[in-house]
Amino acid sequence: MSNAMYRVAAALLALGIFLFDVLAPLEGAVAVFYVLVVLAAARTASRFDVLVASLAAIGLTALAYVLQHGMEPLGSPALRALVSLAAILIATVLALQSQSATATLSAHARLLNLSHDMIFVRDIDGRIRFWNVAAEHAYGWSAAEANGRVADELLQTRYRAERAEVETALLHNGRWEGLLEQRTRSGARLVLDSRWALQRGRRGEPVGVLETHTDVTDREAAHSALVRSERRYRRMFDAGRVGVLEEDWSAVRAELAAGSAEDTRTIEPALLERARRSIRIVDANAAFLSMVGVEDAPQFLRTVDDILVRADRTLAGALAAFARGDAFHEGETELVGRDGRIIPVLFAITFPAPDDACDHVLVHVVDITERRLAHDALEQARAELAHATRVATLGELSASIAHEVSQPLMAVVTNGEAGLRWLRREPPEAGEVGAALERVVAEARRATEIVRRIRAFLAKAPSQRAPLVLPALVEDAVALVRRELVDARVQLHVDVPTGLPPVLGDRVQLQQVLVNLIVNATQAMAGQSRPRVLSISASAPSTRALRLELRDTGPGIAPEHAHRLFEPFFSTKRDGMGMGLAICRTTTEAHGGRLELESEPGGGALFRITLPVGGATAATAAVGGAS
Amino acid sequence: MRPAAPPPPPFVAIVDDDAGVRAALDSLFRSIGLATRLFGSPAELLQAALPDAPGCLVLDVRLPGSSGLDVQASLAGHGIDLPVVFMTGHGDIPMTVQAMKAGALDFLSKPFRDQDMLDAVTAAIERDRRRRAERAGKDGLLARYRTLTPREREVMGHVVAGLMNKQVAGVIGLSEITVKIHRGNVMRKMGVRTFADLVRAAEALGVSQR
Repeated sequence: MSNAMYRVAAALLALGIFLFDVLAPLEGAVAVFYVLVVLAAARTASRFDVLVASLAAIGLTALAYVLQHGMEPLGSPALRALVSLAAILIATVLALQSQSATATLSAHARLLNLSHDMIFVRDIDGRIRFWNVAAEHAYGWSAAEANGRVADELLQTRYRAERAEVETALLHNGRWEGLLEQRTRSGARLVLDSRWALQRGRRGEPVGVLETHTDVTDREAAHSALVRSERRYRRMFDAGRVGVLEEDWSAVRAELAAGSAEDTRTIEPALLERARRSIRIVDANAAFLSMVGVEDAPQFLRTVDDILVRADRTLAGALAAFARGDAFHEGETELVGRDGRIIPVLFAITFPAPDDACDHVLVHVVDITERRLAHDALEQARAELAHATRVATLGELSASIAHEVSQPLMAVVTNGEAGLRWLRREPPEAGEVGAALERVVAEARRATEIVRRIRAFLAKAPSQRAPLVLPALVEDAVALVRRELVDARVQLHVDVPTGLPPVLGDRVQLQQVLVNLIVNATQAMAGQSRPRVLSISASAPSTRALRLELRDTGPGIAPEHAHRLFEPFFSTKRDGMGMGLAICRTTTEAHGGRLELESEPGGGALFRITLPVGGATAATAAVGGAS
Repeated sequence: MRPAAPPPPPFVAIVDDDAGVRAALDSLFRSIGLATRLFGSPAELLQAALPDAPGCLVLDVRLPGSSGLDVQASLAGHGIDLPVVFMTGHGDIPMTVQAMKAGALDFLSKPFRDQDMLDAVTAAIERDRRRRAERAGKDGLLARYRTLTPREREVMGHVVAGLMNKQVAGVIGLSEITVKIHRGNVMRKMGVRTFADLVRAAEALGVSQR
């Protein structure tokens, strides 16, 4: 009801009482009922209304007395009027007091309504007496609906502790705090951070409880997700089959920030040495410990220096990646176990994000001993096969190679005999003798060089990777087959620029690839009347790759043969073993490259070798070797 | 005939694609006083003007551009008929056989003894010298033969075939006296004194002896 209606009601009530007082033949204290007028006015919560009503009631009481009794001597009617007046005054005072208290309360209630927390007051029986706006929104019940309901039933409150314990704590301390779960009107489950305050009466008896609830459902969910995640990762760390190391790189960070270390080549050996000792091992999982044969991590695993072999060549690269701010770095190196065993491993380093204050780095390590053994065995088998093929190739070339060797030998003998004849002439011809001897020396050197090339080609050495420049590689290969080309009347064009970066590879194996391809091209062109031309060219299609192309003017490769050409034991030659091109391809691929064929029937064959540039790796190797 | 000039020195033409081998052979041949001509390929040889002197060719069986055997075959086409000494490497036996059939004078396997090479070359040059002399003699006979009249050539053919003067007269249809006169002229013009010399000259000239 609005204030205006209370005022109208109060006025009508006052008028009614006045008329009854004046007109009714009752001898009674009718004016006492003006108290109702005052109380009605008090409902407007306005002091002014109360005072107006009170004055009006007093005035009307006095007026009614004057109208009825005039100036007659004071008697019992006057006494009754006085009693009524007293009642009106008392009611006024009480109403004003009550109003003041209500104003304070509603000010408090407004404050409570401003809060984002759900706040309600319940009496000691649990019935809700106050219910703020936030509670209306959060729980879905209006204050009117909630008031009078038992809070725990309405909200289906579930305590994480025993309800009795909560009650005991509340009574004992006057306060309780804790987590509980409640349900909203729509049934949604809320996790709440709850604070209770006990309200006591004058004598200290508990009269009610102010409950404040903060919705922590999201926070709680996030937290438990975090806990689950933490548990999961811990499990991965502890129980995973992959070795995991946690390392502290903060000391390295400080050093790297000082100098420019973003390029592997600018990392000095001294810095590398310091880094080995300053990268601290914070934690290592069981898989890693068993890999390196260590039981007590803190005692034996202090820094990277304790586990990394001296010959390691990967740390510089890792430091450079760290300095660049890379998120990730991986490689292959060797660790040394507690018992001195060398363990080949693959590793992957995860660096913290640049804005991450923590400089802890995770290193995942996989033991590849078995894989390495298998790889070595495969590599050895491949090398033996390659060697067998080289021997077979030289066998095919034996006639031309014999000629190649016999030429300088014959020249040596003939020069020697000619020299003797010049010497025995009368008089001896010293100039001719000297010239003959010089030719003997030069020809002997030439023979030695040819033999050296052949021996190197036939060497059965384990595969060795070294930086190789293409011009020398091509020249060595061509030297072995030069005579074969001459005999077959093949014109050779070599266009291999000297400025190209080196490849990292095994000299003999790559030479074998070239020799095979050259011999194949030569044989393909043998017997044709068209010009026989073999062109060898080199280029760098990108900064990371080199390309060697061998193009002949032979009949090309028939399409039905092209796709089988690189298969072992496939040969288009009548007495071919069929290993040549297969070996060429596996050799190229073992060097991280490709061997491809491009052929148009009748348009000659083009074999293209693509190899990765070996320069950067070579530089790393140099750094690693110097440390 | 021209007056005899001082004989030109014999020479050896060396064809080998290997400069080292050429230089060695050059030195060896010069050390015994032979002149040398060096060629890196058969093409160079075929284009060169060779001295008008007794000589021989030293050829490698394996040569770039064309094999030594091909060279041997094409020499005649270029008017070069020098004797050839072949050098062979190991395993060139089929080529050797082929070259021998084609008339190679000698074969030397590399590496050879210098004396063997010198002997082979000396023999080849001697043969060339004889061949040149023979050719010179044959050239003289031919010139004399050309001075004969057709009738005298006819008589000479019958005489060297072994017919008596009377028989010749019968075949040609002349008197025996006339045949005798023709025969005297033939002997005089051909510069022979005996019948046997005449027969030999006819053989050298390949005069038909029906």
